[in-house]
Amino acid sequence: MDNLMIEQRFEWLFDQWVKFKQKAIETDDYTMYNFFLKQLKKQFSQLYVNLEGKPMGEFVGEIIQLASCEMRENVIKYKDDKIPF
Amino acid sequence: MQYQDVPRDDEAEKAILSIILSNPDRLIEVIDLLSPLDFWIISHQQIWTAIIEVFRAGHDLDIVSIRNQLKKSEVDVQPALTALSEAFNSEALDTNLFNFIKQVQNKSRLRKIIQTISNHSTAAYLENADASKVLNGIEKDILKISDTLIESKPINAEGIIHEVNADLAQSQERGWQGYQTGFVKLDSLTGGLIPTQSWIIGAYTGIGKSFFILQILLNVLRQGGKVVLFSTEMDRKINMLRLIGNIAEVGTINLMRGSLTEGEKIRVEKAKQELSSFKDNLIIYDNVYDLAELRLKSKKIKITNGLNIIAVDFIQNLRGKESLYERMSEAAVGLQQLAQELGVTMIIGSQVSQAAAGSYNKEAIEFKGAGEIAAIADVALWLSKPKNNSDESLRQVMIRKVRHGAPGWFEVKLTFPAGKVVDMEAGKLMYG
Repeated sequence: MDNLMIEQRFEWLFDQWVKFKQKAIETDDYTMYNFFLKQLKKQFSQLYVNLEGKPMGEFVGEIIQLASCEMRENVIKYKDDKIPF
Repeated sequence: MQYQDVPRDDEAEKAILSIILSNPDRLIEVIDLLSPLDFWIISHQQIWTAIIEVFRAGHDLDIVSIRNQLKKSEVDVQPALTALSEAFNSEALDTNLFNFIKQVQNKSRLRKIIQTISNHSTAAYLENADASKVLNGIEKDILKISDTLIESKPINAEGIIHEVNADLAQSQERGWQGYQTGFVKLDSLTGGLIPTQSWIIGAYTGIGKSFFILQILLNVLRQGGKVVLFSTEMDRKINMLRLIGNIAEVGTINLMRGSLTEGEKIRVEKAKQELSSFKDNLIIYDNVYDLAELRLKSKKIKITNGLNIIAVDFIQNLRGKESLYERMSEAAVGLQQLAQELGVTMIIGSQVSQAAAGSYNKEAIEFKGAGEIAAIADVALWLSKPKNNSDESLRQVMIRKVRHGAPGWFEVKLTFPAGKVVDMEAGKLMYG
């Protein structure tokens, strides 16, 4: 896979990320967004293992950490929004 | 029968790691159920250790934080990461998490059993091996393993309410939650001998504390309860003679001398028969002075035979730290914890301090040694001779503290020479 293809794949991924997040904010339903983040973490974790020690590995690690952070925020936001009083 | 080399379940271990990594919020449900050494594969042990450390540090749980933690611990990261990658491939359903945990726990315990037996069998082969020491060692280690089998108690509201409902159902069926002491006033003010509670019975030397404790134990035995008495002052045979004397209404000295009338001999035989009928429901130790040994023996009885009441007469004779204060603090808290852990009622006989011995001040609860003795008590009783009363057999039982009820007092008669304690039902509430 050449660098252009990798770049395009990441661009597509981030587009999907933004779309899922926008949808979640608009509908106030974070279910699909959380599922997306979970799958992303899972797939990227396997990639992270394979890239251990390589520069690309660090970048993948940052994406995983960002997804973790988002999931944590969603829990706080989602729970807060659902409290009826 | 199929044998395997070492009890292990690699797939269950991978499944647990896979589920937790995919659902980090589930870690809180299971973190207390598994230790790293429960995993057989070393990489899995390292990963679980890292997961716990990341959790404790409050960081997000993902492969990056785990890898960083592994690096901090100076373990070889690559094998652990490879194991993590394999765990991700596990595709285990998170609904089966507790089943996988049970499987891993089971294999872990089996390995511990094998290790224990192997260690002790090596000891048994030694030239100067002592069989009773080897057996004691096996017993101690096996009990430690079986300790982990005791079900953890619920901590959430639903679980606790479920427990409370079960206790209330039992109370409605029997009329009581625990066992009755047999003293009407005492039972009505305290609710009886409720499991997990600690009772302290204090008295100055010679007042009749031991007779009072034995009377309560006898009353419990007659209700079908199971009791163990750790007698730190009197020989077990003397305790038994006192029980015989109580039932037969014969003095211990006369029993020991054998100077009995025909009628007394018949009553003594009947008393022996009654006490024999209790079999393993009544166990008396007269050589246990160490709290750790007391715990071990109590747990063993609880597991093998069932147990409702532990009585310690008296606490000041338990050995431990040098200073009385430290020894009593440790003993008091340790006995309270044991009562709660085993779900039994703890009855503790205690000497009282010289200063408080003659005091009728309701505020002065001074058990000899440490304030913890009074502090841990759910019920604190104070035996004394009533003031200005010529009847030497009369005793006042002051209910100084009832954590969940009202204090009060009542009188009993300590019959001589048999030592039977008779409820006079003469008490009244002190307040209101």
